[in-house]
Amino acid sequence: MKEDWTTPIPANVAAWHFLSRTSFGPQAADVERVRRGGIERYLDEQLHPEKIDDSEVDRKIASLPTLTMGAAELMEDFPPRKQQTNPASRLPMREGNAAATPSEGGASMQAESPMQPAMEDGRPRQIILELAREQFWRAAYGQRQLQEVMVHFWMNHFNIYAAKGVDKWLLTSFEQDAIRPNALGKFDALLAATAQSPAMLFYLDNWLSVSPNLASGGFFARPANRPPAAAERRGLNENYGRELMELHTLGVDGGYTQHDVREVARCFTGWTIDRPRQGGGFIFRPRLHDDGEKVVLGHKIKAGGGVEDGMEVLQLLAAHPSTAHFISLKLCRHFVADDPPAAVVDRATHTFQQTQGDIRAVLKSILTSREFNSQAAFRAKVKSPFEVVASSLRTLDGETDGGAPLMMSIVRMGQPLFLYQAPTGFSDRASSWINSGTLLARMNFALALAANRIRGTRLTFPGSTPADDGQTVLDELARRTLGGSVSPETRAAVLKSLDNLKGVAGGDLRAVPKTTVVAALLLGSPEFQRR
Amino acid sequence: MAISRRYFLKNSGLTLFGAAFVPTFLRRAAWALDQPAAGARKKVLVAIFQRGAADGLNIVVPFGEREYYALRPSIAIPEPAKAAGDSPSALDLDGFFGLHPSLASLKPLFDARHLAVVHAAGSPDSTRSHFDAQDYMESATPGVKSTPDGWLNRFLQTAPHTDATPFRAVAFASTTPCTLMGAAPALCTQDLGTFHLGGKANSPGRGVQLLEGAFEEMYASASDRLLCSTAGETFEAISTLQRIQMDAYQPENGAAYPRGPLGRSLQQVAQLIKSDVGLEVAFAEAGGWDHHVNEGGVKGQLAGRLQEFGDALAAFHKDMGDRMADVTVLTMSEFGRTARENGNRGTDHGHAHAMFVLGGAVKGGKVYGDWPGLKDHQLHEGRDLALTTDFRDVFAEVAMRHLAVKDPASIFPGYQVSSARFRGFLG
Repeated sequence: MKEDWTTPIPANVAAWHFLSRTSFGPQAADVERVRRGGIERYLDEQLHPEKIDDSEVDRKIASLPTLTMGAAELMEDFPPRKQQTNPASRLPMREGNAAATPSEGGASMQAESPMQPAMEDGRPRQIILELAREQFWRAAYGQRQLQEVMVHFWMNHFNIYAAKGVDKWLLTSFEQDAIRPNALGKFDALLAATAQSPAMLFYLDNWLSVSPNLASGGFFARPANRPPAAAERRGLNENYGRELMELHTLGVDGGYTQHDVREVARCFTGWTIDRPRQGGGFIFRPRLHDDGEKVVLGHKIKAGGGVEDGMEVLQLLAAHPSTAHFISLKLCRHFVADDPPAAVVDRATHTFQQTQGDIRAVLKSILTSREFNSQAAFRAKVKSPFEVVASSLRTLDGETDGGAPLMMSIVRMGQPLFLYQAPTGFSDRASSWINSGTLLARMNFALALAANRIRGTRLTFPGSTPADDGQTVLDELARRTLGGSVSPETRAAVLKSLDNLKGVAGGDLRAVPKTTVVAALLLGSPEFQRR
Repeated sequence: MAISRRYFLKNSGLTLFGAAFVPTFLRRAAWALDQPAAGARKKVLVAIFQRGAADGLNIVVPFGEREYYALRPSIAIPEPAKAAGDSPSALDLDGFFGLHPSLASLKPLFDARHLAVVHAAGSPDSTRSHFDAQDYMESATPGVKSTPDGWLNRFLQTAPHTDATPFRAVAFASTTPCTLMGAAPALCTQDLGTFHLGGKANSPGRGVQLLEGAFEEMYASASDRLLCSTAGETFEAISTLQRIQMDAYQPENGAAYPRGPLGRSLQQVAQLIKSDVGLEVAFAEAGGWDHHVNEGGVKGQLAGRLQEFGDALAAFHKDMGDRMADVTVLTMSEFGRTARENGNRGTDHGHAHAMFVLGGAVKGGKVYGDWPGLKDHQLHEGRDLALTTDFRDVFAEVAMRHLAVKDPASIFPGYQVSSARFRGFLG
């Protein structure tokens, strides 16, 4: 079947469709508001989250101690488990080899059992769990839904693996200081905030990168009788330079070479972390910087620029046409379809360039496009596991502490939050979310949630009385969870199993209310897996 | 099991999908209804991906090369000890190469000629991006990012089995690895022991069975192709796993799998093979090789990863016993690491690395490949171990000589496979 990007979506589901993309799950009141006031008005409100009162969820979040603590405080209050003897401890502290302990470095970085050994050890795990709770709460109960959708988008775009070294103490600040304030702002500001965040400097190793000339003498030559300091032996690290272009800005086919990677890495030498073991912030160390001339993407960066070299590179990349296209494509993939039509991507790219990367403007161009509002876009996206959980809670009045059992649910469905190792982040495509194992996990989540068997989480939507017939229960729950748009096959299967249940004598489901059975089947249905 | 297959056939019916779309599992199920269960022994390939770029030079150590020690002053593995009781050192394989001492459990397999090494192997593409390089290796099309499917999936496509089960290809991973992406179905799970609906593995209550039936029904008839066909695989697999009782498995011959995902994956692979449920391709992952900082030498981070890696492979070999005759295990990593250690006592992204081949038909006890040397001018781009064996020649040798592929052209698009380039570890 050829996809139809021109036929508009039927009016009765248009508001539902819009909210299923711009929020973590349409709620009746919002659907009504969009129907009455129109999409544009609602969108304009959501694009200015600072004007939306979100004090209720803010109060809830204020109860999470780690969310109000800085990195320095977190490191002091949530120290790592006693470190084993390791070579790192012999390296000078002032060079900050905080990362290099056996329990935190590469050896434990493989994706393992759900919470991974690196995260099971010691109290730092609580920091990551509280960050997850904040995200569950904001998604389920926050009013600034579009901002929250974008926080998730950018956290994944600028992915950081929480189990790598000190990143578990730095991720909270990354989310709160770098991502959230810029999620709907200008792309260059967002990019700069990530570039200077200790979390990113650490994750992509830039904090270790020093001028390749450092050891070779010259003005800074050390006396011959002194051994080289760690920084002098370290040399250039290309990791950040490469991922900055491949993943954060230009895209892998964005027109850069290995030579550009090296030149960009030279520009960022000296961009490091002040006292990384104590949770210090970004610092530029001129002594470690390569102050020679560089050429990045054909653009000359004069010698002697110091910290400005890096800023110049960020501006250059943020303004590059490849970046406009790459970011627009990823946004369209998230909001429209896995393979969005070129027209909507091109329009978004154009807007990006015209507005110097105004994320609000780009979003508006996508969300008000013909393609977004077309028949082909309806349920074109498979929900991520986080979206499955959040939309379940939102549509069936879930109460949750957002704790570890809920986190485990999305891990089983294939989304270990904050623990995706590679800087690519999770793929935003149906084929990567759905396989026989994760689909089973989705059905199991539906059963567990509907039966209130997830510790710390329960659904509180109005139950049914035994007098309610199956049809009534089904209609009500289908309206809540699926906007009423449910296939005849799913309807038939639900009604049939309600029928069969009557025949289960003394079985384990005899006393289970109809609502539980219907909720389980609808949350696990094919329709609910999509947005 | 038969009920679930028949259910699909009766209620969704092939006609419901029209001629254009008949999901694989339905075609298969239609055929399988009149066939005995897949019981014949099959050749099995177990592919293990070391994600993160494993340091081949410290795994299979060229201790006979002086340059090696010059390049790695703080992390080199000492040459084999002259006397027992000396401090840990490389385990001599052939007077030039030695295994990292943490791989001691693999040494007897090498000595007994079950285990071979192909050194200086890898991808001819010189990308140093993990992601690109993994994609290239898994698609077996270096330099081509647009390849939509993985090489093992294409193998499955070229040798279709009408009696294939959902266990023909199993990936132990959280998401389907690129290696197995494509038109042929592959089961993906982190742990088969948890592969069931509801809380209990072997005794689902009547209620759970009822809900399972309802889910089966709504997915079987869904117009959503991806979800429909994936669900078909899911339900068929659940039935089989109930039958073979995953959680009751006892490894044989005194094999003890190490804790951790690789050990668990390989134990479940062993169980699937012995249960004759139709496994032909298994994929497992072993992560944590990206040691830019403090890689360690005889001890340290790499040593820790290798301990688990070697012990898992050795336990699998022991557990499988005679059934190893039908099995080849092949290990791979997206690229190797710099020949020189860096200033952080680690290594950075490099080029060629070392692959292991283990199995009954393997002509082991030998390190295959031409050794390119580690002198400055011999290094790839002046920094990495150069490549002398294209990984596709290793894959193709396994495909043709183990999996009996006759025409590998469609598995390795754009590559002229020639047995003249095979290293000969399989005959």
